[in-house]
Amino acid sequence: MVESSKKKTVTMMLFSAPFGSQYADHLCRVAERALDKGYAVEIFLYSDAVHAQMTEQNPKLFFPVGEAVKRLIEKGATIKSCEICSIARGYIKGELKDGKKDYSSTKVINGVNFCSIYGFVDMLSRADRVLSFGGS
Amino acid sequence: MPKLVIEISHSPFGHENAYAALFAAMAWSSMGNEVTVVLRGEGVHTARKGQVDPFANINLPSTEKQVNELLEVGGRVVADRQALQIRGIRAEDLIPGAEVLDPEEIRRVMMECGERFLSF
Amino acid sequence: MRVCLLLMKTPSSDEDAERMLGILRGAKAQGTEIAVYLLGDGVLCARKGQTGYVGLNLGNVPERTTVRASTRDLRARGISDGDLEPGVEIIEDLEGVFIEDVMEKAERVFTW
Repeated sequence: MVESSKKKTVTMMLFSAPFGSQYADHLCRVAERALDKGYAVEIFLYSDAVHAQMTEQNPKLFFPVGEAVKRLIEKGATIKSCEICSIARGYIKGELKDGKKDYSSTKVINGVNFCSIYGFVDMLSRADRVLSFGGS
Repeated sequence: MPKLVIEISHSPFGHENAYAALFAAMAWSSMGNEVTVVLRGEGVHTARKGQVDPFANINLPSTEKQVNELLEVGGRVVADRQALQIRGIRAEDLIPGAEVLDPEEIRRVMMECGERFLSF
Repeated sequence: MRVCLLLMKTPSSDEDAERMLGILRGAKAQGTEIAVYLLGDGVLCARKGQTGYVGLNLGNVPERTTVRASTRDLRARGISDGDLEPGVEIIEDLEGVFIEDVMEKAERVFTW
């Protein structure tokens, strides 16, 4: 277990949807081990990776990404999903309500938040290390 | 501020990769940070000029416009010389401002500027 | 400088191999330490007897190069110890070893 007065942060980008490839599995496993070892973990879901946020995933034979996402959130990971990508894929409307963006959705795992690309840039700039999964 | 290298290895339009990569590069650069976009493999097509209204033709945004905007704000776009050569892409085919580097020079850029690295 | 490479796929062409593994080539001259981590399909790179752009060509890498492959992914793919290039370490908790290397030792990390 890493001991430090300030936790080091690893920021991970996921670019692939779950189940179609193992990238989401790899990210979840690496992220969980990072949390176990005392690092702060921030995850950005980009493009088709936003599908990892969907509730009621039920992969009978595949790595249970939805459950892994919930577990990561419970263990303290920050998971942010691309706002535009999520709107495009029907997860949120992202309309303004009382001056604030409305991100309410029954389709998104509780604890997954949304941000613009500038939110991702903020994550990247604060990270001690950055890892990408699924783009290449 | 830390430097960022973004690698694109997919050609634009067939996959979202190039667009998404350039979108992130632009956002990073617009915050005053240094970014180098490295084009490899099929990704070198991202540096070719002459796209004709992709949105009207195939309902997709112009990556040429993205590259131009990125170069305007000080981002760097470099294409792998070998990848260009085997695809018959000549210097005059490239968006002005896009650079051509040998693989060895690209490796050097990755090592020097790759404090943060994203692969698309 | 210490560099970590995380490979989750195999190269599918000479270009891909140069893109993903070219750092190994440059590292020899510069005295760079390279740690290669193989996860998922990346473990296929470590099989011995491969030619061309497939495989790591471990005979031709810098001295201070370590190659570690995930036990879980090797087993799932039916690859046994004897099928691997000599010098490949087989690690049960590859994700844990990788993340600690990345966070505590490495100065660069590239993932594919």
